[in-house]
Amino acid sequence: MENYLQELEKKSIALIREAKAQFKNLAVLWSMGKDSTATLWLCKKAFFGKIPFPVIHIDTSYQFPEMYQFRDKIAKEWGFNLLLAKNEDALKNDMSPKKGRLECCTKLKTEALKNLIKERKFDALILAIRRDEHGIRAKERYYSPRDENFRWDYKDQPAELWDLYVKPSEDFSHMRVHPILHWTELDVWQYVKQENLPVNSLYFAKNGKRYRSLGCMPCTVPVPSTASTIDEIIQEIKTSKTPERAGRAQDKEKAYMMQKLRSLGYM
Amino acid sequence: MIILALDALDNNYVQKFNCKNLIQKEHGQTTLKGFNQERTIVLWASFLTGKNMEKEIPIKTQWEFKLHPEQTFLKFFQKYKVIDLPAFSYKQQNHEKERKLLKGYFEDKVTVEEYESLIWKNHEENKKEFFKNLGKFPLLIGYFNLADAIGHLSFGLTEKMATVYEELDKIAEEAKPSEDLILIISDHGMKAVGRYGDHSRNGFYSSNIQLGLNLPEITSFYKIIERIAKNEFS
Amino acid sequence: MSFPRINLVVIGHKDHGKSTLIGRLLYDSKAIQKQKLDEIRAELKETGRKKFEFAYLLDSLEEERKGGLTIDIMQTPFKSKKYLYTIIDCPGHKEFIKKMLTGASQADAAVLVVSAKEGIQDQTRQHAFLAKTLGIQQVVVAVNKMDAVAYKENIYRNTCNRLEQILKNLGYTNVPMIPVSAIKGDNVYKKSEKMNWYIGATLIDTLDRSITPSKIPMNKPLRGVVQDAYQDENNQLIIACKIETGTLKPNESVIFNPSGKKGVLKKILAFGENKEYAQPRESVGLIVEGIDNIERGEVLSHTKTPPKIVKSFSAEIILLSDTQIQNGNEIIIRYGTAEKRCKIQKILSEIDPVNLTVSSEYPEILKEGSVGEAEFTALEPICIEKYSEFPELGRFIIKGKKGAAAAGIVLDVQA
Repeated sequence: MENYLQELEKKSIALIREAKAQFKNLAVLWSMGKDSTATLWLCKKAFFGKIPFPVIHIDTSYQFPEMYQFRDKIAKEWGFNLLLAKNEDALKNDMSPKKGRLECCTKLKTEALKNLIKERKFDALILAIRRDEHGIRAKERYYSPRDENFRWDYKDQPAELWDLYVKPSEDFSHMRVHPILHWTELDVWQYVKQENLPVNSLYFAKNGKRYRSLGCMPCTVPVPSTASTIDEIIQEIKTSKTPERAGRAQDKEKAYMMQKLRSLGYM
Repeated sequence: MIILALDALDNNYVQKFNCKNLIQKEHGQTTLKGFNQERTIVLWASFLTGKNMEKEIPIKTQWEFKLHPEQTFLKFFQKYKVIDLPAFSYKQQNHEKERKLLKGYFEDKVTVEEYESLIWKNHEENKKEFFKNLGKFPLLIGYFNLADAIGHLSFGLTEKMATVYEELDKIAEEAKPSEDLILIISDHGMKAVGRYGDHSRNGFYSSNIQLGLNLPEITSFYKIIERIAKNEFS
Repeated sequence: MSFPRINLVVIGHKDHGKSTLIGRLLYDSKAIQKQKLDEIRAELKETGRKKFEFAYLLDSLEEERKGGLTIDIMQTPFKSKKYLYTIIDCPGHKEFIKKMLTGASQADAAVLVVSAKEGIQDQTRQHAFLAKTLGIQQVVVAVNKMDAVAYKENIYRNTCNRLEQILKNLGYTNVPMIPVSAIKGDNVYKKSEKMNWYIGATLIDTLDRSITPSKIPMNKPLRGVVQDAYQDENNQLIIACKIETGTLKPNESVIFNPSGKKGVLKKILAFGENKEYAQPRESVGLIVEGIDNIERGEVLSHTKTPPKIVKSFSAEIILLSDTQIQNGNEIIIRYGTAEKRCKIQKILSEIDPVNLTVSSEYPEILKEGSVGEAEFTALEPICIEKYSEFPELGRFIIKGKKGAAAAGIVLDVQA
C-alpha cells in the first residue's frame, strides 16, 4: 500500500472508532458517491468487516437510476443496515426543483434528515466531507457540533487539540464527525483504485462527458471529459485546474441570492 | 432643488465607470452604520425623516409603508414633486410586478430578459415624468431603481452594468442645465455574487455645491435639506 | 505522487503578512486553481482594491472579507520538490488563540513571520512561545516585507539578531531566517535579485532542507490506548486499541494499566486478516488470553515495560476562552482515550506570553487565555506520561462543557 494512503487511512479509522466509542447512537451518511463509499469502506475496516451502525441514504427520489441500482447492490453485498431519509409528505405535494431549487433541497434533504435524526435519536453522524472541496469546508473540524437547526457556528468552534477528539457535555444537538476531512479528491481516487472499491458508472465518461460529483438528476451537470477508467480519472485530476463542484457553482450563488432577497423582503 | 434618488448606486462603481455627471463638485461614500440590514424602504424612510426607521418598519408590510409629509423634510417646502420615492410616493403596482417577475426568475419561470424589459419600461416611465416636471417645482425628487433591479440579477456582468450606469449618468447630465442645486444620493451600494448582485454598504452621494461632509449618514441630509429650504446655503 | 506530507503552521504578529505569505506559497507552487484565482481577481477589481492581495485567497467567507482578517485555520496542500505541504494559517488576532492552537497542535513545523518594517511585536513572541509550549520542534523564520525597507541588509540583520535571542531563550537554536517579500515574491519560491547580499536559500528550499516529517516512534517501549471493546460472534472479547509507540507481536505478554489486567496476546486482528505485528498509529483489534472485559482509556504496554501509575504530575497549561482554573478545582482531563478526575493541587506560576517571563508566582487563579504551570493530583489512578518521553501520552486537555477548555503538556510525573 502507498505509504501516505496508509497514513490517511489510519487517521480515519481511529476517528471512526472514537466516534463509535463516544456516542450512543451513531450513523453514517451515504450518497453512493466515491467519497461516502470510501468512507463506508473505512467504517467496514474499522470494525473488521461489519459496520455496527446504520447507513443513511437521503432519498430525494430524484437521484439517477444508476445510483439506486448501485445502492441496492452494495447494501446487499456489504450487508449493512440501510435507512432511508425520505420526506414523503413533501413528495406527495409534488416537491421538485421546479418549485425552486433551494426550497427543494431544504424539503427533500435537510428536512428529511432532520426528521430521521429526531425519530431515531441519532447523536452523531459520520459525513464524508473533505477540506479541499471548497473554501468554507476548509474551516471544518473533525468533530463539528450542530444545533437542532443544523446550524454550524464556524466562528466559535471548540478547539481541537492533537488527536484528542472530545464529546462536549452540552451545546450540541448532534455531532458531525468527518473522518476523511484531510483527504483530497485525488487521494480518494487513489484509494478507490488501491482498495478496488466499487465505483458508480456515472463517474466514467460517456459521449465526452462524465459526472465528477453525484447529486439529483435535474441539478447535477456533467463535465466534459474522456476519462473512462479510474486511471484516466486520476490522470485527469492531476492535470485539471477546475474545481470539482464547478458544475454546481452558479446554483449555489443563485440559491444564496434568493435567500438574500428574501431576507430583504423582495420575495 | 433637485434630488436624484438612485437605488443601489455604488460609490466604487460610479468611479469605476467614470460617471462624470454623477460625480459632482462634492462626492463620496455614505455610511450605513446603525443599520442592521440594507433595506431599501427603511433607508429612504430614514433619508426623508432624518431618523433611523429600521425598527418602525416591519419587513412583512414594508412595501406598503408610507410617510406623511409632516414627518419628512418635505414640510420645509411649499411645493414639491416626488416621483416614485419608496416610503412616500412609491408606485406600488409597478414594483409589485417587478418583484413577481423576480420571484419567477428564481423559480425558473421567467427569463432575465423578460424581467429586464419590465424594469426598463418602468424606468422610462419615471424618466419621462421627471423631465416633464423639471424646473416646475422648488423641490423635485426623481427615484430610479434601475441599478438595483438590473443589478440583482446581473451585477457580475460588467458590460450590462456599464449600460445602466451610463443611463443614470445621462439623466444627471440632462438635469444639469436647470442650474438648480442637485443632490444625488443612493440608499446603499452593491457587490457581485457570481453573476448576481447583493446589497453592499458602499452608498454614494454627490452635490454640485460644497457641503463639507465626510462619510455622511443617510439621516444627516435631513438637516442639510432643511437649511437649503430655508435658504441658509448660498 | 508519494511525496511525504508536512503540516506547517504559519505564526506571527497580525499584519506582518502571514496570509500574504501563504497566498504567495500557494500561488507560486501553482496549488491554486486558475478559476479560483480569476474569481478573486475579479472581486478585488470590483471592490476597488488595486493590488492583488494574496490574503484574499484564504478568506473564503463573506464576513471575513469585510474584516480583512483570516479568522480560522485554512489548509490547502501545495507541493515543493520534496514534500507535499499542508499549511495552517494562524490568525493574528488576540481573541483567536483557540483557533491557533487547533492548527498548531497538528503541525510538524512552524514558519514564524516577522515584518522587517514593524519589527518584533507582542504576538511574535507570544506565538513563538505557544508553538514551543505545544511541542513544535522545527521553526523557520521569514523576515517579511523586505520591499518596504528597500531590501536593506542591516534591517534584516538587526531583526535576526533580536529574534535569535528570543528563540534561544525558548530553546530554539540555529533557526534559519530568510529575508522575503511575500507580496513581491522575493525569496519565497524565486530567488530575489534585489538582495544580492543574501546568499542563503529561498524559503521553500530552506523548508525542504531543514524540516523532516514526524518520525513514527517504532523504537520506543510499547504504548497503546484502548478505544473500545467488542464481543465477536463467539463471545470472544476484541479489544479495539490504537498503538501510539513501539510495536506489538502475537504471543507477547501484555498488561493494561491502570487496571493491571495481564495476559498473552493471541491475535492481532485487522479487516480480513490476522496481523504479524502492529505499529504506531494503527487501530487494531487484540485478542488477549486471560482478559474478558476491559474499559476504554486503559493503556497497553508490554508486561516488562509498563507505564507508571501516576499519583500527581506537573504541567504547563494554556487556558482557552471561557475557562479559568483555581487551586482546589476538580476537573476531568483527557489523555489518550482516558478521561480521569484530577484536582488542581497548586498553580505554580502564570507566564506572561508576550514578555516570556513569570508574571506571578503561586497565583490563586489562572484566567482564560493565560498560560501557566500547575501541579495536579490524580483523584483516580492514571497513566499519563512525561511529554519529553512519550509526547502521545504526555499531552492532555481539560474538559469543558463545549469540549477542550485547556491544553496541557506534562512536565513531570510522580508515582
